[in-house]
Amino acid sequence: MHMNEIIQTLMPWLILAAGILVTLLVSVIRVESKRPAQFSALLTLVLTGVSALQTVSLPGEAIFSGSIEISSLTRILLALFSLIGVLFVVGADRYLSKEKIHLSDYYHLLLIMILGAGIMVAAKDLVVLFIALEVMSLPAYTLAGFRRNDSRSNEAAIKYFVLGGAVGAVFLLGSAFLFGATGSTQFPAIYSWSRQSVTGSNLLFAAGHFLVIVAFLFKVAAAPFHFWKPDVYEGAPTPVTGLMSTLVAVASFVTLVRLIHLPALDSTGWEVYAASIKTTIRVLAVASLVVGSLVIITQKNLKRLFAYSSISQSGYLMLGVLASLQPGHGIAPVLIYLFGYVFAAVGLFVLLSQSEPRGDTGVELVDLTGLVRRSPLRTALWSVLLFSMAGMPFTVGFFTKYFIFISSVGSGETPLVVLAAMCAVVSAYAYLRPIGLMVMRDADPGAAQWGGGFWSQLVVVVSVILVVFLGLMPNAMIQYLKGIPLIH
Amino acid sequence: MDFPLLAFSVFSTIAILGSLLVIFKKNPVSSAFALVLVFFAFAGLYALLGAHLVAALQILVYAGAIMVLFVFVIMLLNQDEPVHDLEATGVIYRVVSALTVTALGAILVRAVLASKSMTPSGALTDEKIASLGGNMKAISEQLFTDRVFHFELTSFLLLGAIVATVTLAKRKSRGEEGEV
Repeated sequence: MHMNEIIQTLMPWLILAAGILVTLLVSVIRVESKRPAQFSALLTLVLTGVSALQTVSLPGEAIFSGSIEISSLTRILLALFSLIGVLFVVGADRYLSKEKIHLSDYYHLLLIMILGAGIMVAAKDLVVLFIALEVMSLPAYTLAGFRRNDSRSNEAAIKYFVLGGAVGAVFLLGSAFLFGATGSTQFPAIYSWSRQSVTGSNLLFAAGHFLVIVAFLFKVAAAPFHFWKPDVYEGAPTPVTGLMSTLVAVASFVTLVRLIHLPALDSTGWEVYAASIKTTIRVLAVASLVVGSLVIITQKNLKRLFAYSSISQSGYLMLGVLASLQPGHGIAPVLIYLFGYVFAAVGLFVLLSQSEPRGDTGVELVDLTGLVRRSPLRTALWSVLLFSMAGMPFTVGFFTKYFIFISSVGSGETPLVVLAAMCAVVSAYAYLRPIGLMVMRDADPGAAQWGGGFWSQLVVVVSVILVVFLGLMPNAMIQYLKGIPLIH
Repeated sequence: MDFPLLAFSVFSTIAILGSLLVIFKKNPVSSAFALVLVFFAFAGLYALLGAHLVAALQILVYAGAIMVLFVFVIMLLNQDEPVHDLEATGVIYRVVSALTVTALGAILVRAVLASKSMTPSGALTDEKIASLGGNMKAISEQLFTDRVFHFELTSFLLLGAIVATVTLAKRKSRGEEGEV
């Protein structure tokens, strides 16, 4: 392909990459001020997002000898990542100053993380996928330890880093096995190998495939690979927890789905293997749903609560993955769920970062008591977002769960759907209890003060508007995302 | 016993024993030197597979550069505190992890054994590499044609690593307070 065409296809990614360099350079103009880096990061993200959206309907194209494929899916995801980035640049401003960790580095690391995530979802080669995974993860580990004076933030960073390193090793071992079995690291070659393979699946391929999948199960924290998540969520600075819960989670989950679809599971000779993959996903779904929904109701710390929430989200998403394995079903329910979750989660984590610092203890449920008298608007925002997490009607959370459930029933997984619905009811208690505390109880004497500042409040309002708007009129988003094919 | 098999056995034994030493030596410097042994044994294995460039790079980069870094870090962080003992973890944990690791190891070994009947596949066969003019030429050509994207992406990985390191290691700026 001609160089001009490559540049044109890659434009949003190139803007982001150039923006990273510019942001690094402008932050040395005045070392004391964080504004140049902040402004440059914001501009980069807006340009990236706009450029990705502008070209979103162009047909998919594999470039660099099939190393990456730029398609509608990857463009819309890059646009989503840019939006998340913008919201966490604007929304974190006050938190960072309040915690006295307002450094330009936050913006550099955030941008590099988004570049990694944006390339990871486009990668069509296991090696590119691995490098992109590390480009995304390294800044994430660092940001988790961004409160350098806080021992729990350090603990979170070390835990995340050591586990992430192990995950990387598992992924590489799996890639080596896949390469050994199929003779290629590229997705299309592996796919066509599975179509032509006379013997069907073999043990070397199966071991490699399971290893690369397990690596990403750790990243999305599907039970029983979830033990790191509550500690890391709790220790990391709140906006970073938000980034992990949205940006990293979406990128990892989309990659996980693509890795599960790596071989052609409907080819002859693969029946047993396809069945074992499905059983594995069923077990993961049940484990994540049960662990997430039961443990969440015992949590007092809000960040740990959202950690268990995201574990149960992995469970619902596994239902969507299971449905996507059925011939003729796409990954639309998964994408819709991820988008809906992100819009609510961004607002929730920015809201969470608005409490005044309380030293070593994080934000607890008790800090929310009597909030309606102290700050009615904030109570309303909390309530809408929590309603969405609980899957109440008129919020986007309702439709996303609904789509996962009907696609699952359509693929014959009714018992799982019944279990998932029961788990949704149980965990609704955990989401509605904070609202009860805000409205019904008087403020506890030890409750934290809340104060957000205009910009972070604006981010929450944007998130609430998205949640409500898409809750009332979900059709546009659903129709759009339904038309997006998965790239192999 | 023919030479490749003999060499393979020797190098593998060194690699496995070295790895065990890395884990079980209590003194970090001893562990680091056991690791050098592992690196050399691996270089030998790569050379046996015909990957001479990788073998040379393994010695240069790992046994040379990365090892120096390890020793530096040990020197800088050298503390007189007693080394944390494996004994400190609970018995149940140790039994469960030993069992899990053994089971996983068994599965992986079986997977590798299952590949015995398979013929090596892939674009770069021995003949192809020879016709391209050796390992070095084949790798260089790949790196700047088919794999140029990997190459460029790696530079962003390094950039990210630099920014991350500086963020964690630099002195307090005016925006920050308190002692580490």
